[in-house]
Amino acid sequence: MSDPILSVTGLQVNYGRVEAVRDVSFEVPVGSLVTLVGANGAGKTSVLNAVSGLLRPRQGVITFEGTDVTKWPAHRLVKAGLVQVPEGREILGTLTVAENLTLGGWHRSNSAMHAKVAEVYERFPVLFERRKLHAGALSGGEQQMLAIARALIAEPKILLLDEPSMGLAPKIVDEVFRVIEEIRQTGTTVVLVEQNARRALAAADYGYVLETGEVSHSGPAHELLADEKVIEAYLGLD
Amino acid sequence: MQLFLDGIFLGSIYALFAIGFTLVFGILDRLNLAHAAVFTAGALVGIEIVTVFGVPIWLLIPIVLVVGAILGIAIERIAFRPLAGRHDAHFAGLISSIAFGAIILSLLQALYGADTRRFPADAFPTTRVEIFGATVSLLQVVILIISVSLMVVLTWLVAKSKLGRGMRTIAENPHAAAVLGLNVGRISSTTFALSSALGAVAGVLFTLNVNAASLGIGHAVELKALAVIIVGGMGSLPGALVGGLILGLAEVLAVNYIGSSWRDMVAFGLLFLILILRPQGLFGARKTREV
Repeated sequence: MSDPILSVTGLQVNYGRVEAVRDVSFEVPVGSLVTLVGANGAGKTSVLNAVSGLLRPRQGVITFEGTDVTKWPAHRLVKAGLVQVPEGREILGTLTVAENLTLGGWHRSNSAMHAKVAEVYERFPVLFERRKLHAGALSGGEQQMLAIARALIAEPKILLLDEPSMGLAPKIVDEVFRVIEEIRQTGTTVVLVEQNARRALAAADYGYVLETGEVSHSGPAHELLADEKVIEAYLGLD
Repeated sequence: MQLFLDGIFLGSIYALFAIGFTLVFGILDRLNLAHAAVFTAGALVGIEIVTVFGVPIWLLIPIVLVVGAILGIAIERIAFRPLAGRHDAHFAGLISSIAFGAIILSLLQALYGADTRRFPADAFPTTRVEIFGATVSLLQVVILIISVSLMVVLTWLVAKSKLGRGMRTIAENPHAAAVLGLNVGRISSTTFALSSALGAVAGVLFTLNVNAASLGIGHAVELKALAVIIVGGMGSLPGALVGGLILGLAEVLAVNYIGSSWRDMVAFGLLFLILILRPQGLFGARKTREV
C-alpha cells in the first residue's frame, strides 16, 4: 500500500457512557476509494465524524497527510482539504442552490470559489438549472448531488461521504455512484460509508466491515465481496 | 411633535438594546439574560470614564463598544460555551447567564457603590435646537444618530458581509455550518461580542437621555426589550427596531396623556394587543427563526 493520506489508529468514541466506537483502525491510500460498511449502529458515522473533527474521540490517533490531526476542529480540517458530505445531506433548505454552493467555498478566495462553482455547474447541469431555487425544493437525489457538489467547491484532497445512497431510488443511487467514481477519477481520495455494502464494495478498492464499534473484517474490496461468509454474516443478502 | 420626538429618542434606545438581545437569540438560539447587566455596565463604566478622564462623547462610544464586546465574549465563553454539549443547553445557558449577570452587577456595585450616578454636569454640550416647532437637545439628536447608525451597520453586517452569511448559516443549521468548515465557535463569540457592544452602548445612551444610572436600570429595560423582541418577531432585526420605537412612543404618550403611573400598563397593554392580533409578531415569518 502506498503512503496513506489518512490513517486512523485505535479510535474510540463515546457518547456519554455509551461506546459507539470501541477500537477502529484503518488506512486510506492516496487516490483510493475506501469503504466502511456495516449495519446500522455499527459506528460508521461516529468514525467519520471523529475523523472530520465534529466529534472529539476518547482515544486513538488520526493522521492526515502525515500530521496528527486528532485534536483539530472541523473548520481547520476543511481548510486543509478533508471535507465531509454528511449523512442526511444537511443542505440549507431556506438558502438557494447557488448560496449553498457558495458556502462550500467558505475558506477559498472569491475568484477560486466562483471558478469552482462554474466547474460544478458543468458537471451537474441540473444544479445550474435550479440555482435560484431554494435548496429545500429539490428532490432527494438532487439534494444529494448538491451536497456532494458543495463539498467539491472546497477542493477536497479527501472526500468523506456518509450514506450518500440513503433514501434514494435505485436509479438515483446508480447516478450517485457514477458521480463518486468520477470524483475518484479526478484524483480525489474517497472514503465511503455505506449500509448498501455490496454496492459500496463493488465501487471500492479496499473495505472495512464494522460491527458494534470494531473492525471485524478488512481487505481488498473484491475479496470481501467474494467472501460468502462475510456476505452472509455481516452484509446480508440485500 | 415634541412628544413624538421624545418617544422616538427613547424608542431608539430600546430598539438598540433589543436588537443586541435578538441577535444572539435569532442566530444562536440562546436567550442571554446577562444582557441587562451589560447595559448597566455600559452605563456605569461610561460615567466613570467621563468622570475620571473627561473624554468627549465621540470617544466615549467606541470605548464602551469595546467594553461591551469584551463582556460579550466573556459571557459566551463562561456562561454558554461550557454548557453547549448538554441536552438542556438552552435552559442551562439561560440560568448561567442570569448568574453571570448577577456577578457583573456585584462587581459594578463593588466598584462604584449602589448609589445613582450621573455624568458630570458640564460633560456634554447642552445646546438645544428646534425641529418642527419642538425643542430637542443636541445630545438627543446625537443619541438618535448613534443608535440609528449602529442599527444600520449591524443590519448591513448580517445581511451582506461574510460574517453575516456565516451567522445566518449557523442560525439555520449549526451542524451543517461546522461540516462546511465554518468556525462556529468564533462566529458565536463574535455574535455575542456584537450583541453586547450594542447593549453597552444602549446603556450609555439611555443614561445620557435621563442622566441617571443605577444598578437597577438594566432590569427595567430587559423586560421591555423581551416584550419588544416578542412583539417584533423573535430573532427579527427590523422587528426589534419597530417594536422598540412603538414601545418608546407608547410610553411617552401614556405619561403625557394618562399619567406616569399608567406608563407600563399602557405600553405593555399595547404590545399585548399586537400579539393577540398577530401572534407571530410584527415581522415574525412562518419559519420559526430569522436573522
